[in-house]
Amino acid sequence: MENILKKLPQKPRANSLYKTLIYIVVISLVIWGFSGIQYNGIMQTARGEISDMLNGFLNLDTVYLTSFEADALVSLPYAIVETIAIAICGTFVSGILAIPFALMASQNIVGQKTANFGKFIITMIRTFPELILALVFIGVVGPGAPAGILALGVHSIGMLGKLYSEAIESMDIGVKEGVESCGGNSSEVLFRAVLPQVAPEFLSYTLFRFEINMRAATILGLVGAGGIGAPLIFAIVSRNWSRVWVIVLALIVTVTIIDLISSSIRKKLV
Amino acid sequence: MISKFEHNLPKKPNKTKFYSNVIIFALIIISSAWFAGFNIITLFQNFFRFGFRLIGQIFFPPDWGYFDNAIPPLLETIQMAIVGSFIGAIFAFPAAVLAANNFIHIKWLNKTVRVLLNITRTLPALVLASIFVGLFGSGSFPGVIALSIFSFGLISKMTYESIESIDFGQVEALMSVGGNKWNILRYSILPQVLPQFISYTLYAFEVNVRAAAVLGYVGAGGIGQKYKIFLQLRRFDNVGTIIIISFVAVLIIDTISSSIRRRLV
Amino acid sequence: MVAIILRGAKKMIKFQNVSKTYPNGTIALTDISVEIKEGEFVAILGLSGAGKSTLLRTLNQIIDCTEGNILFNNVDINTYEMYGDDPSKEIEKRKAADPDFDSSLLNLQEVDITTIKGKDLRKMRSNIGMIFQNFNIIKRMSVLQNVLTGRVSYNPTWRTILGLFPEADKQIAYKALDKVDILEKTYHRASDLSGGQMQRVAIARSLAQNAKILLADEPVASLDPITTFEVMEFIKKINVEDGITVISNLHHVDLALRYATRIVGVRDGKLVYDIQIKDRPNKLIIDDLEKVYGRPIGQDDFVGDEE
Repeated sequence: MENILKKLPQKPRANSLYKTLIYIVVISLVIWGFSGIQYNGIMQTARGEISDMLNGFLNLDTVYLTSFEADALVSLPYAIVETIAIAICGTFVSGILAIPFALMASQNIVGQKTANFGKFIITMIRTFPELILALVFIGVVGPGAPAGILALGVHSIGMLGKLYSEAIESMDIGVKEGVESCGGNSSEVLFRAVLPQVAPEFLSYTLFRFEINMRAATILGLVGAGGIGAPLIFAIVSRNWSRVWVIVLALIVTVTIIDLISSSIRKKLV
Repeated sequence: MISKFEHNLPKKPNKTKFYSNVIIFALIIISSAWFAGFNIITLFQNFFRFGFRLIGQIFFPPDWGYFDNAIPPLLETIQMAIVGSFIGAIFAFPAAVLAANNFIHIKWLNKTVRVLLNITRTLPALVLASIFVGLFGSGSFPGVIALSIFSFGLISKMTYESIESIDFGQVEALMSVGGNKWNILRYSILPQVLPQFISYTLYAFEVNVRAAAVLGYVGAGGIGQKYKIFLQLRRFDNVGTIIIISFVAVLIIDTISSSIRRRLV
Repeated sequence: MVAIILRGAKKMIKFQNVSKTYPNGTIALTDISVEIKEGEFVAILGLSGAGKSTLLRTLNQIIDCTEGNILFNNVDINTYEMYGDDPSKEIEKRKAADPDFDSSLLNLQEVDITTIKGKDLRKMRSNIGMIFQNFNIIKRMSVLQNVLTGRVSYNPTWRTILGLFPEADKQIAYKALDKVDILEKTYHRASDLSGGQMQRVAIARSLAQNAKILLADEPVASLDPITTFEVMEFIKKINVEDGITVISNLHHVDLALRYATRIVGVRDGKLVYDIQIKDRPNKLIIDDLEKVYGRPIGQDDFVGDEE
C-alpha cells in the first residue's frame, strides 16, 4: 500500500477562489433580499377573510358563470372569450410583425453591426412590462380590448423577435447558400430558403408565446384593457369571493385546455 | 415541341389539409379581431391624434428630480424578486424530482405533482398578489408569496423536463453499483441537472423582476405602487421616471443574468 | 466452521429458463439456460438486437425477467455477499484482511436474484460490477469520486450524499486506480480523460466495489484499436490475477478468441452456441459463428492487428 500512496499525485488546492467568491456574493444577495421584506403579520381580519373565502368557494357565483350578455362585468363567458381574443390577436399579429425585426437582428442575414443594433432595439421593446404598455395604449386608443391587443402585440414583438433571431442565427447556413448559388437574389433567399427553414420553429415559439399571452391578457383588464382582468380585480377588492373563485376556476380550466391544445400542435411541428 | 411527360409521375400530394388549416387559422384571427373591436384603421387614426401627445407627456422630459426617491422602491422590487425566486427554487427541486417519471415510478404521484404545477402556473402573479394583499395587508410580503408560487411552478416544470431527458446510462451505472434512490439522485441526476436548474432559477429571477415591478399596482410592494399613485395624480412625467428606471434595472439584470446563464450551460 | 462445498458441484451463476418479453411485445430472450463457473471469461457474441444487452442486464436485474431464475451459489444471506464456487478461498482472503472475521456467522445459500428486492438486491448488486459502452462516468466529478461511487452500498446514505467517504474506502479506491494504472489522474476531472482512460476508471469502480463478477456491455466498441487492446488487457488482468468472473458482450470475434475462455452465441434471443475456446481451433470456431450471425464473418468483425 505504501508504494501506491507514494505514486499518488499531489492533491490540488480545494475549490478555487473564484467559486468561493461566487458563493459569498450569492448568499449575501439572498440575505439582503430577505432583509427588505416586511412581514406585517396576518391581518386582524384575516381569520374572517379566510372563512369568507371558503364560503365563496363552496357557493360559486353561477349567475356570473351563465349569463351571456356582451358585457365582461356581467358575463363570465363573454369575458373569457374576450380575453382569448385579445391573446390571439396580440400574439399572431406580433408573430408576423416580429419577423422583420428578427431578420434585422440576425448576424447571418445582415452582418454583425446591424445585428447588434437590431438586438438592442428588440431588447428595448422587451423590457417594457405589458401592464405599462397597456396603460400607455389606453391613453392613446381608449380603454377596452384594442389597447390590450396593442400592448400584448408590442411586447410580444420583443419576445418573439429575440427567439426568432436566435432560431435564424442557429439555422443551417447551407440552406441559404443553396439558393444563392442558383443565382437567387436576397428576397428570393429570404422567401425560399430562410423562412421555410425556420417556419416550424417560429410557429412553435408563437404558440408558446400565445400560452403566455393568455395569462398576460387576464391581467391587462386590471388597468382597463379588456378581458377578465377588470371583473376579477373588482371582485377581489370588493371581497366577492364567490365570484373570485368562479373566475379563478374558469381561468384554470380555460388556460389548461388552451395549453393542451397548443402543446399538442407544437409537438407535431417539431 | 416537347412532349408532355405523362408516365410514371408520382401522385401529387394532397394539399387540402394544409390549406384548410390555414383557412381555419385565418378565420380564428379575424373573428377574434372582430370580437375585440380591433379596427386597425381607427387605431392608426387615434394613435396619431393622441398617442404622440401622451408619449411626449411621459418621456419628454421625465421628472429627473424624482429619480432619487424612486431608488428605494426599486430596490424593494429587486429584493422581492430575489426572495421569490429563491423560495420558489427551493421547493421546485424536490417537486421536480417527484414529478419526473423516469426517477419516481409512482404514477399517481407524478401526475398529482404535475397537475399542481400546472395550476400554479395558470394564475398570473398579479392575481395571486391581489388575493394575498387581502390576507396580509399591503406591503412586500404578499408580493413575495405570489412570486414564490409562480417561480415554483415555472422552475419545477423546466427542471422535471430536464430530468426526464438525462442520459439514462449514468442511472444504470449507479443502479449496477448497488446504489439506492438517493445515490442515483446525488450521482447521476444532480450532476447532469444542476447547471440547468440554476439557469432556470436565474431565468425565473429575470421574469420576477419584471413582474415585481408591477405587483405594487395592487399594493404588493415595490415600485409598482408609484404607478398607481402617479397615474391617479396624472403626473405623467413621474410615470416616465419610473418607467425609465425600471427599464434600466431590468436591462442591467437581464444582461448579467444572461451572461451567467450562458456560462452555465 | 462452514461446510466446504464440493468443488465442481454447483456453478457460481446459473441461468434457468430465463425469458424476457418487453411490455410492447418485443421478445428479447427465450428460454436461456447456462451455467457460468467462477473465474471464467465469457464472451457473448451475436448480432445487434440479438438480446446480448438484455441478457447481461438480467444478471444484475437492471432488467427483470418475465420468466425463469438466475441462481447465485454460495451467497451469505445475512449480507448478500458472494463467496464463489469455492468459499474457502474467499474466506481466507477475508481473514487475511480482517483477523476478526468469523466464518461461523456465514450462512451460505443459493440465491435467486429474481426474487429479491430493495436493500437486499442492492447488496447483491454491489458484488457485481458493470461497465458500459459509453462508460457512464460522471464527467463533472473527479476520478477519485467516480471510483468511490463503487462504495455507496457499503456506506450509510448520509455519507454518500455528502460525498464523505471514510479513509478506508479511499485506500480501496487508490488500490483500484493503481491496478488499472491510472493513479496519476486521481484528482483530475473525469471529463479531462480520454475514452480508454474513462473505461479504466469504470473498471476501477468495479474493483472498488469488491465485485466478484464483471459485466461488460460492449466495453471497447467506442474505442480505437490500440486503446481497445489496452482496455481488454486490463480486463483480462483482473480476471486472471483477482479471479473476477468476466461476462462480456463483444462486437469483435478476434477479441473474443484472444481474451475469453468461453464463447456463447446468442441469436434472436436464444442461446445457440457455447464452447470453451481451448477445446476447438479458432478457424473452426469462426466457421461455427456464421451460424450464430446468420451471415459470413467478415473484416468488420475483427479489430485487426495490434500496431
